[in-house]
Parts: sequence; C-alpha cells; structure tokens
Amino acid sequence: MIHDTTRIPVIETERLILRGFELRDFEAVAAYKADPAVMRYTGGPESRFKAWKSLAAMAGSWILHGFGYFCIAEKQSDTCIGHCGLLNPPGWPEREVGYTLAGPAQGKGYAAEAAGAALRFAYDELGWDTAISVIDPNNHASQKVARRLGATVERQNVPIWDFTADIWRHLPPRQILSSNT
Amino acid sequence: MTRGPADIPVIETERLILRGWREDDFDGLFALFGDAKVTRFIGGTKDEPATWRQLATYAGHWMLKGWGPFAVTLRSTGETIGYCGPWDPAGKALEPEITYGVAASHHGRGYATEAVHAALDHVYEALDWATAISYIDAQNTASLGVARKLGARHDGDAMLYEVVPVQIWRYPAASALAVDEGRAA
Repeated sequence: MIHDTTRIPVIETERLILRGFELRDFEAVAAYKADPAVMRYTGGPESRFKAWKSLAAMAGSWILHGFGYFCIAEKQSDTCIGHCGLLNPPGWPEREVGYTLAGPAQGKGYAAEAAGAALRFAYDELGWDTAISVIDPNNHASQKVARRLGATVERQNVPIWDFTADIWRHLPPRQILSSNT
Repeated sequence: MTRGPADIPVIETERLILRGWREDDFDGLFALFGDAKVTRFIGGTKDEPATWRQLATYAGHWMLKGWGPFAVTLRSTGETIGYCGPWDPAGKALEPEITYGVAASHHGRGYATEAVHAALDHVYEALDWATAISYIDAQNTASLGVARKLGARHDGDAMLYEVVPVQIWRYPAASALAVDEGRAA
C-alpha cells in the first residue's frame, strides 16, 4: 500500500505541537540522541551520523506505514524537544506508541501530553482499537508516563529483536477519547 | 517521467524501474543487507531491525531533503533488487554521492550500471547537479567496474564518517555521459 505522506498531521495540545520532522530539527535531535541519560533504555547514545539516520528513519516511517513519528515541539518556540510516534516495524509485537524527551524537557508532563495526543490520533484518525508501549523494566520515568495514561503492564521480559522489555497495554479507545490528558 | 507518492519520481530504464519506497521493499533490501559478501565494502551486514531502519532512512531522506535514493526494481517481475540514488546523510562526507547496491542473485547483469546511469540523468536534469561522484572502497572491484563502465575517473580520496578510507570516483558531466543505457554488461 502506498501512503500519501503529504498528510502528516499537525496536532496541538495545551503546551505542545506534534508535527512531521524537518531538516531544521537535526541539531536538537542529535543533541538528545547523544545524551546517555536520555538514550539509556533505548539503544544507547548515538553519533551525529547515526542520529541523522534516526531522524530520517522517523520521517520515513510515514511513507512506509502511513503513520510514524512526530516531532514534539514546544508551542511557544516550535523548538524540537523530543519525539513520540506510532510504530510497528517487522518483528515488533504489535502497534506501539513510543516517546522520548530531551533531558531539559523532562519532568514537566510533556511526554504524557504528547503520547496521549498520539494515542488519540491513532484511535480517532487511524482506527486503531488498541496500542502498546514497549518499556525497559528499569525505565521508571517511562513507566510513570504509561501509568499516567492509564496503561498497565501486560507481559514482562518479552524478547523483542535483540533485547527484552515489558509490554504495557494502553486503555481502549472509548476510555482514552473521553479523557483530556 | 511520472510522479509517485510524496512526489518521488518514477524512472523507467530498459530493464529497471526506480521508484519511491514501500513497506514491502523490506524483503528485497534484507536479501541485500543480510549478505556478508555484498555488504563487505558498504559497512557490513545488517540484521532485520537495522535493515528496516535503513529502509525508513532512505524513505525519510526524501522527506527531509526532497530527493534521495530510489528502490531499484525489475521491470519484468516487479522484484526489489536494490537501491540507487543521490544520498547525503549528515556527517558522512563533504560531497553528496550516488549510492547504490544490488542483491547478489542479480549481480553480473549490468543492473547497477543501468541504475546509476538513470540516477545520474536524474541528478543532472531534475536536481540540477553540476557534477556527481560515488565513494568506492579501493578493493571493491565490482563497483570500480561500474564506475569505469560509466566513464568515471578516480578523483582523489576521502574519509567517510572520518574513519573509512575510500576513493572518490567522479562521473562524466551530463553532456559527456555515454548514451548507451541498457547495453552495459
């Protein structure tokens, strides 16, 4: 199936804008992808070259799937502070909502705000009936975000690709779409 | 020339169709990137997750820059046999290149030469490039053969990602590019 990639939506939340990635986001992406603390549970820090490929891959996922990663930007400045996205590469357990925030943007509730919006988009616009998040058992910050969205651990230590992680199950559409978080 | 999804052009040659990327190109790319021999001079093998990221990266190159590598498919069967096109990820080198690769089961038929020739026509005409190169490992005789067939010349050396030594092979300018598409063996 071929997807019309000119239709990457722009989603506004209270404090954030979720939009497609652009070349101008590279320095911000390279900075947080190089941060060992940010990348501790998602493959480790990346060189500039690897970060550029990651940026391109996040953008390219829309061509392949018709859904993909959003750039999370602060509404005031339109500066990229992370990404959240809908993904389902080959060998993945099922369709996921993932999220990553740059260090300085953490601790403000941005991840839950962005991931909640992405999840509502998946349910509302794409017709998903469920979604998971794949989270390292030691990634307490990410678990907190999932819990805040109402997700619960469904399976622990599941082998995925070359790592193992917990699978968190998000609330179904009727419970997410009626909430405001 | 027709237009494909995301305004990615579709280029037809005698035996090939170069087009934008789709999810189902994965198997064709994995046949290529999973092969130690084919990937010996292009960074080594990739497992399935890394091949998926590479596929998404090729697609995303188009979204970020408006141009990029194409999926190379056979006109006869529609099979995806490789990738070819202009490629300029940040940090790789100073000058953008024509990157290409063809799965081993399709080697020896001149497909790479045919695809690179089409990509050169594309960058000269559609992207208005004045000149074009490929970075090639000095021991990669197959790729050096493709470059020579197209009339390229060794034009100095470069260090990819600041660590990988390669030769720069510069192709003839648009006006001098041989008009023998499809005949290259």
